[in-house]
Amino acid sequence: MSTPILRTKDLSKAFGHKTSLFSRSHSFFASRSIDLDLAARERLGIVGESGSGKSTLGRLLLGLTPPTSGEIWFEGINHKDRTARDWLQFRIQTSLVQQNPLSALNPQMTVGKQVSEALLVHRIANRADAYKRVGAMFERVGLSATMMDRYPHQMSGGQRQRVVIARALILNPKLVVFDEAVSALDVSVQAQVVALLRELWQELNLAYVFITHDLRIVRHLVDRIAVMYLGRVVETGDIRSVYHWPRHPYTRALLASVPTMNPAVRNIVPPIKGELDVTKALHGCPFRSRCPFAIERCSSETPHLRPVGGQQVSCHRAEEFPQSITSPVAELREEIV
Amino acid sequence: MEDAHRFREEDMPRLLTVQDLVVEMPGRNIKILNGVSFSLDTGQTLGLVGESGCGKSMTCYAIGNMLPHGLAQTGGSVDLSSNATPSKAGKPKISMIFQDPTSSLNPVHTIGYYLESALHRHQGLKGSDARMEAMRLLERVGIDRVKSRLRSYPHQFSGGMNQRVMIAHALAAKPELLIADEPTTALDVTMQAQILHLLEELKAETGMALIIVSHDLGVIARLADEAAVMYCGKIVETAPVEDLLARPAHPYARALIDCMPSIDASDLEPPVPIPGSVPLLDCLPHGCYFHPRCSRASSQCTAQFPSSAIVGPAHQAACYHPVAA
Amino acid sequence: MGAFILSRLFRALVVLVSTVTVVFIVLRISGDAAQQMLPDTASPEALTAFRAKWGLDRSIFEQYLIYVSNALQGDFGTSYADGREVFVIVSERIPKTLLLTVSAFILSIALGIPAGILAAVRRESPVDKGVMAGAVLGYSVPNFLLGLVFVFVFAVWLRILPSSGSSTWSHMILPVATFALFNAAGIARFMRSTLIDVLGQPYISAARADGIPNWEIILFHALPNAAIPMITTLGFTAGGLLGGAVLIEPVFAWPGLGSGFVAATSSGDLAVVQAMILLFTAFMVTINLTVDVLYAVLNPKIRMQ
Repeated sequence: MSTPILRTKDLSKAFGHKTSLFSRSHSFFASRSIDLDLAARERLGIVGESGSGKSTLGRLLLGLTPPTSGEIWFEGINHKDRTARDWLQFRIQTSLVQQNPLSALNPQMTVGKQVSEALLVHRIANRADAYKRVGAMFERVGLSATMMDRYPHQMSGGQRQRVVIARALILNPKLVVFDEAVSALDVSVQAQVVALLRELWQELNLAYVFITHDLRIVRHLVDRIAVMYLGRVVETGDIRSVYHWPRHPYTRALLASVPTMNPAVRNIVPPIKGELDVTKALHGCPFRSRCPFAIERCSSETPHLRPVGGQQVSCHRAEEFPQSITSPVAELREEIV
Repeated sequence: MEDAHRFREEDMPRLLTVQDLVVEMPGRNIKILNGVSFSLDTGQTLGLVGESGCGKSMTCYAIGNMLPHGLAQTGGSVDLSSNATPSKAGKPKISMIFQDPTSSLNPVHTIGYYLESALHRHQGLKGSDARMEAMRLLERVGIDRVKSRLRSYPHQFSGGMNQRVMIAHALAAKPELLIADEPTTALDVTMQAQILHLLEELKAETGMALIIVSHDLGVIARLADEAAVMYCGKIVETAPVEDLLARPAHPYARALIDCMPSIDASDLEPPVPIPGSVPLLDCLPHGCYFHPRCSRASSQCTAQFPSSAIVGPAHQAACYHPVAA
Repeated sequence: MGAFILSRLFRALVVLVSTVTVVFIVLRISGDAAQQMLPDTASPEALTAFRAKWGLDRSIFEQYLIYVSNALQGDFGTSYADGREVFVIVSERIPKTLLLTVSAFILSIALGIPAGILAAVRRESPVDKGVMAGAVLGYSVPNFLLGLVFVFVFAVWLRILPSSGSSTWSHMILPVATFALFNAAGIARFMRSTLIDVLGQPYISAARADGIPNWEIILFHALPNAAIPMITTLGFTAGGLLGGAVLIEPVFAWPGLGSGFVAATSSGDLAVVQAMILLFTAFMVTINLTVDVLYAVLNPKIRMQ
């Protein structure tokens, strides 16, 4: 891999959490000490439950929200050192695709106009030229150029998502953040968008960050994955390596929660109980309150990312878990305690 | 359809029989449901699967007699008959839970009011009896500190907790049939696993029948005994769920299976998309509605919609060229 | 909740003080009261004497301090026009205006809310269409014009109601009706659209699925939710009542704050104008405060914070 186009160091974002008018607001971390590298043309997946901080991280990377501490470099320039001109350049080279294509599009403007807007605003093309380029981009994302004159409500959900993707790609960005870009779509349309993104990546000089809670989809779209829990990356590595042998109990639980297409697999006790609570700031491992394998050490000592197998894992007991994620938790617990 | 159910004693009436159900937009010639038929026994689980707009949810609304404004049932019948409790007067009770639990709960009412009023309506419980039962139900669906929860409002709960509240509320009616319309689609995968397990447990405990609607075949595989695949307001295939997944007959069912991504480490192929998109209901193609998207389509398919035919034990499909097993 | 009300009270006070200040400054620098009150032929000596008498020759800052300290003691000065105490002039008009606006407000709620509910529940039926046609008509005719039409029809033509004055209860009918019809139309329209919106929410379908009877759904499930945005609209309506009074009272020669304000403004009676603006502001601030509190009471999302 060449020098990274995107790099973060010790990136954190804290939010105030107000409980009542008079009590002091205490903050929680939506991102905490994130170190991340993204090479040109690399595809990184970020997964976790809602509240894990994955969307905040996406917004931080694009400079849409300022970090509380830490640094971000894009193509060697620190976000902090960017001039207004640099920011403009950065905006041209990056883009964001969000979950709901209907609310991401202006209902009172034709989709063609919305896609061409960026070209005109940045004076990259004149009107006639922009029209041609948008037409070509429409064809490229699997829409017909004749659809440019339609309004968003005249299109299906899948077509709208293609429009949103066309808008994100029209300036030839080097980095795109997809935030739950396929989660609201039907499985059949999801599969279409997955195929489209795979093709586009082959053809374009594009690196992307794909943020999702869907562990089935992300696998087919990225080279590397980072699993987040309460603002921290708990496991990261090559996608094949992580899916082949997940080492963090949270990653294992996420994967074991995915329903399989095998009707023989039934009555599975949920791999983890409860849900993520951002208001609970814990010393030690952030996952320990829900972890069936937590020991004394997990509350006294915060685990940090360290190499285990082919990936980086922040768990004191990472080496102890077997390859199979389907071994019942109770059994496993006895084995390794 | 009759053969579709394996474990049925001949003389027992079915819990639910849906016959040639048609739901239309009056005034416009748009059939949302176009001759849907199936039946369900006590304790059995039917999975309805298909893309958005195929009529899965509308089938549920028609059964629950809650079609939205502007739609009407114009043909066919929905019959409910109780065999578990023949002495009880009235029809067996149906409860429903929905995709978006938080917006399905009234924001101005407390969880306690919501459950206690349902208990009063369905079981005649009042005052502290209703409160005790509400607390028991909340505990049963996996909510802790139930006493204080009764005074909470839906916006103070997460989506997963609200879905549990919806399920507790559904149980308050002591239903013989629970209809779950995409109950886990809006939830995180960990919460989905918890809710699916809860439904599995409750089914075993109460013996109620379940209709589960999902576009996710993984959810259907987990809960359903029988599965029905819907397309453009028609059921195109019904089969025991393991048969459907192993040996789908209709090319649409095959395509739905192929476009499901998996986490199986050995399956590295990306999901195969179904070409094209679901046609709009006011411009359905002639013949089989699926033929424009189907690689097996022939001239026969463009002429007339195929009738349902038996393709295996308890397995039917409406296709001229079923996929070979 | 207590803290919430306290913070809103503080905010109300800030609004009140700033309004008094701004109005005071604007009125002092916008024109010379002496020239307005005295005839054009008045001698410079007469003008100077007038200014000295009412303290208009002092610096604006001094005038402001005197005004505020007097106002805090309930002394709003004396009218330049007839030399009576402003406090007396204004307070004798308050009950007249309250009688008019409060009855109009109650009547517009009593008409508008049920009409809106009926239209929403019987959506797209002839009832709905009738109610909405009436509402559009009522809303699009300016209320002073409606007042004039009423005067012409009932007082001049049919001669069954008095056209002006306030001595008997029958004098109230025309101004109250004028006022209420206009507001009821707005309330009905908003009630209808809000309720239709609420009736389309998933929790209403969920309640239907649970077999709850329709009237119970509307009463206990839909209306409490529709009430939340409705409160804001009713607040606007109540706030508009005083503005409306300024337009309508002169039409019916109703001796309230509205006609008093018009008279004082045209004669340049600064002390009266100022006291009335202060009163109007206090009224608006009170309404806003009430709306905020009611909003929080009805909406658990705010109440529980």
